Amino acid sequence: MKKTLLIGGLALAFFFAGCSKQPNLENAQEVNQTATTQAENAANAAESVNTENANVEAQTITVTQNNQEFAKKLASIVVYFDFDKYNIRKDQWPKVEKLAEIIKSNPSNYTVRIEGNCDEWGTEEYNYALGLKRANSVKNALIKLGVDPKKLTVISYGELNPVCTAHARWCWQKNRRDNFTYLP
Amino acid sequence: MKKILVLAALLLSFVFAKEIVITKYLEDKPKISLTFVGPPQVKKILDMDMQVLDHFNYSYDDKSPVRFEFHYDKTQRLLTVKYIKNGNVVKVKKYKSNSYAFFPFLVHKAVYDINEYFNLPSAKFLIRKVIYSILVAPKESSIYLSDYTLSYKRRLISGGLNIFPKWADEKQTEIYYTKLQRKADLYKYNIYTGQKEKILSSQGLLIVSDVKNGKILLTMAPDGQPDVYMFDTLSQDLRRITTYKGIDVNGKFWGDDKVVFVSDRYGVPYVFSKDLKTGNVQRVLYHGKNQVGVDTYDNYLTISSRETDDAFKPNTFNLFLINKEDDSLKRLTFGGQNMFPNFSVDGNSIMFIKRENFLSKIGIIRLNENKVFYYPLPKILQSFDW
Repeated sequence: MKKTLLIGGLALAFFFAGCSKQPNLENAQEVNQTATTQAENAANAAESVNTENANVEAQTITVTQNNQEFAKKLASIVVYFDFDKYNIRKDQWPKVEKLAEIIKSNPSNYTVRIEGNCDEWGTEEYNYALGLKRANSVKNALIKLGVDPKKLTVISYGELNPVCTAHARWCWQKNRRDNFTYLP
Repeated sequence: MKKILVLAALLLSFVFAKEIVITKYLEDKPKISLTFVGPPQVKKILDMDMQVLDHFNYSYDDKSPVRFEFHYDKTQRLLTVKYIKNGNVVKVKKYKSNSYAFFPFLVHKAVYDINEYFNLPSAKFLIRKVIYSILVAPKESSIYLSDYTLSYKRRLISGGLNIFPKWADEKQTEIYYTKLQRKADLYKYNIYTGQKEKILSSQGLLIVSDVKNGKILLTMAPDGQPDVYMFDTLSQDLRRITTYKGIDVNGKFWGDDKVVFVSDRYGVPYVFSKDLKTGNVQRVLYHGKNQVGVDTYDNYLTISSRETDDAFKPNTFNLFLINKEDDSLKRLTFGGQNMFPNFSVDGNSIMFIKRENFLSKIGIIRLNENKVFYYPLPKILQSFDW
C-alpha cells in the first residue's frame, strides 16, 4: 500500500512538473515551486525510513561541532577591496595575517575556500574574473605567510553572492569582498 | 591658406568616411491591414512584433487590399492566419501548440512568415529562443527559456549556481552552461530531452563566451589566472589564446582571423583583438574610460564604452558599432547606461540592457531601420543569449 502511495505521489509530482506554465511570469514560478515541493516531500518520505546509521551520525556531529568553531572564525573575517581593484588594501592586511594564524593553528585535515565577490558593476564575465583575482590575491598572501597551499582553494561568485542589494555606494562597498569557508 | 583648405577637406572626408550606413532603410514599407480575434494578451504580442519589426505600414480593420486575419482559439491553442488579397483568401496558415503559454512563439512565427511572404529582410530574431539565467537567491541562480519579449518563460535548470547559458548550435536545441560547485563545471544540455553531458571542469572559473563552427571560446582559470582559451569540440583540443598576468575575459570570434576580448592590461578594462595567425594584440576602439561589454557578428563588433569619469553617475555607458573591413565606427546609443550588447543570429539586431533609475529595460536596436525599442525587464538578468 505504502509503495502504491509513493508511486502515486511521484507520478503526481512528475505530472505537475510536466504541466504547461502560464504566460504570467509569477504563475509560472508558482507552478514550478509546487512541483518542487511535492518532489521534495516524496524524497523526504523515502529518507525517513532509514534509521540504521544513528551511531555514525552522532560521531559525525561531534567532529562537526569542533570544526564549527573553526568555520565561525573563518566566516568572521571579510577582506574588502576597492572599486575595480584586486590588490589587498593596507587596512585589510591585519585581517589576512589573522586569517593565516587561524589556519596554521588548526592542524586537522581540511580545505579553506576563498570566495571572491564583486559589486553589480562591470560585465558579468569580467566580474567573475575580478572575483577570482581577489580570491587569488589573498591566497598568495596566505602562502607567503606560511599557509600550506594544499589547504587553500579559490572560487569566484562574481556579483551573484551579494550581502547587500541596495543600489547605493555604501552597499556596493560591502559586496567587493573575499569570504572564507571551511570545507571538510 | 590653400594648404589649410586642402587639409581641412582631407580631414572632413576622413570624418565622413568613418560614418557608415549599414544598409538602406526600408523606405517603402508594404501597406497591410490586420484583423484580430482572440485574447488581448495574444494581440499584445502581435502589436509588439509589428512595432519592433518595423517592416510594415500596418493598421487594424483598414480597407487595405492586402489583409491578414488573425484568429486565436484558446481552447484549441490554435492560431489561424488568413492571407487576403482584394477580398480573396490566397493562403491560410495554422499554428498550434501543446500549451496555451506557448502562444507568443506562434504569433512570432506567423509574423515571421508574413515578413517572408513579402521577401523582406530577415526577421529571424522574432523566432529565436532566448536563454537566460537569473539570480533567485544569493548563490542560487536558475536558467530559463523564453521568447524575445520575455513573455514566455520555462525553467530549465535550477538548484545551485547555474550561470552563463549559451546556445551550442544554430538550431537552438542545446545549450552550454556553467555549474559552480566545488569547481566550475561546464555542461552541454539538450533543452528537449533534458540530457546533459559534462564537457570540462576547472578551478575557479569556466565560462563559454562564444561558439562558432564546433569551436568554443572559453574564459578559464585552471591555475587561478583568468585567460581566454579555444576548445575544439571535435578534437577536444584546448588552446590558450591569451597569456597576460591580469584579467583576460569575454573572447569572441571576429571574422575568420581574429578574436576580441576584454582585458585590464592598461589598468582598466578595454577591448583588444588578437590576430590568430600573427599573434598581434591591439586595442580595438580608442574611446571611453573603459569598455566592458563586447559582441561580434561576422566583421562587425559592438562595444559598450563608459564615457564619463565617475562610474556611479548616470549617462555613462554607450554602444558603438565597428566594422573590421573598413575600420568604420558608428554610435548606436546616445545616453543612459547601455550594456551587455548581444547580436541577433542574422546580425540585423542587437539586444542589450539599459539601466535607468535603478530599473532595467531590454533594448533592441534594429540596425537596418535605425530604430531602438525598449521594454521592461522584470528582474536583473545574470546573463543571456538569443
